[in-house]
Amino acid sequence: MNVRQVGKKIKSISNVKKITNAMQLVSAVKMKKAQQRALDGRSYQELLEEAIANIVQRAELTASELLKPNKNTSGKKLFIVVTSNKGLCGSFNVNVIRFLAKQVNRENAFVTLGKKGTVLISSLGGKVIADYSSTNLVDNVTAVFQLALEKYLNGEYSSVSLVYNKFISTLRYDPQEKTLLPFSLNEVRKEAEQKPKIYEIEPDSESVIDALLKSFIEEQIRYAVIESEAGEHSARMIAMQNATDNANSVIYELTLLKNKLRQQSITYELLDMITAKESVEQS
Amino acid sequence: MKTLRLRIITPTQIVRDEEIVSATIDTAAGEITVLPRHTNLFSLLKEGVITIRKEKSQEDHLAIGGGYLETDGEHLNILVSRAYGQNEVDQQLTQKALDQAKKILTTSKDDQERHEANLLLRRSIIDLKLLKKRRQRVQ
Repeated sequence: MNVRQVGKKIKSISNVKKITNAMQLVSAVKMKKAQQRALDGRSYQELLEEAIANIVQRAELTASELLKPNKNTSGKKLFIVVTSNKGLCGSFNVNVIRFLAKQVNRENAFVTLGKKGTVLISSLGGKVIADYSSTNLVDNVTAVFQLALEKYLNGEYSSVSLVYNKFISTLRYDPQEKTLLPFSLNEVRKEAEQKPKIYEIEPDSESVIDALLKSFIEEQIRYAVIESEAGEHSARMIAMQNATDNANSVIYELTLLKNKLRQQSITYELLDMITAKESVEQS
Repeated sequence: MKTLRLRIITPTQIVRDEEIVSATIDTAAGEITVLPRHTNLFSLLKEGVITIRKEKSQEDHLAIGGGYLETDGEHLNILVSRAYGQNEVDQQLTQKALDQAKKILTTSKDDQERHEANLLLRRSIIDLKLLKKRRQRVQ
């Protein structure tokens, strides 16, 4: 490599650095927004949870189809997998798929939210029955939920689970599996025992509880999508930060190399001149 | 005067969080008005317009999607899929959406499309209803 080639390389890497730096800044802003949305949606979910806890105490276990044990006992599972649409976010998507890898077989089926998940699962040989990837994933939550509910009530699958990256902090996101259907009341029941409230329920507890459970499950999917989005942006931010740091160190090394090469050529030229001079003097 | 703490919450944000005197809401079992010291009630809500009355007979109207109402006489929590005030709905856009939905309903044969158009139609009618209500007086 000569000095000019190295110079060109330095130039192109500093261009890459500019891009990764810009992407890092953009992701930081998007992450903040997504986190804020997650916070804003939290109170809706909390109130729903509270309401379910209060109502459930009075309702019969057979009040809703969602509470009955499933007719399908084949063990076939349906997974709703939330990933990102775009790459360049480190191990974010691979994490989810690795977490799922054991579940990818002929029995189980997958519904994906996010293009990366679709590609990765199909490449593993998984059966993707529906792909709801679009620019704004939150818009598709209702459709995903309707599909999952229909398949579950038809008895095609014995359970429906949600798999996504849970946002823990800017530096951490962990893949998580949540069982949506059949609905388990145990957790909500525990909370309800502490402060029982008796409600007048209109029009009747059966229809209220059915609707409540449905919106609760839908809300869980929505929340998972928002949380996964926050995780995606933070993962991308970190990945881009690493890329920028890496570009910096590459530039440093290349500059060193360039200087060495330049010095080398100067030394060679000097050497040439000195040997020429010496040989002239000797003769 | 005793007041109620009203909270209107959608999946994306808290729309209202304020003290009110009463609220009139369409529920699945008919229209009800909730006043302070109302009995504990949990009810399903239909899409419609809710009317909030604050002190000094100020009135405020909101168009809401379906959802739930919960009250214990001190708090009134309304969980809905969407909620818009009079200032957030554009009459022209709504009218346009309404016309479009009607057009789709008369021409389209696709079930999915018709279903969506139906939802849009119902929503637009409610929004227009909201706009016809008396405007909140500027304080």
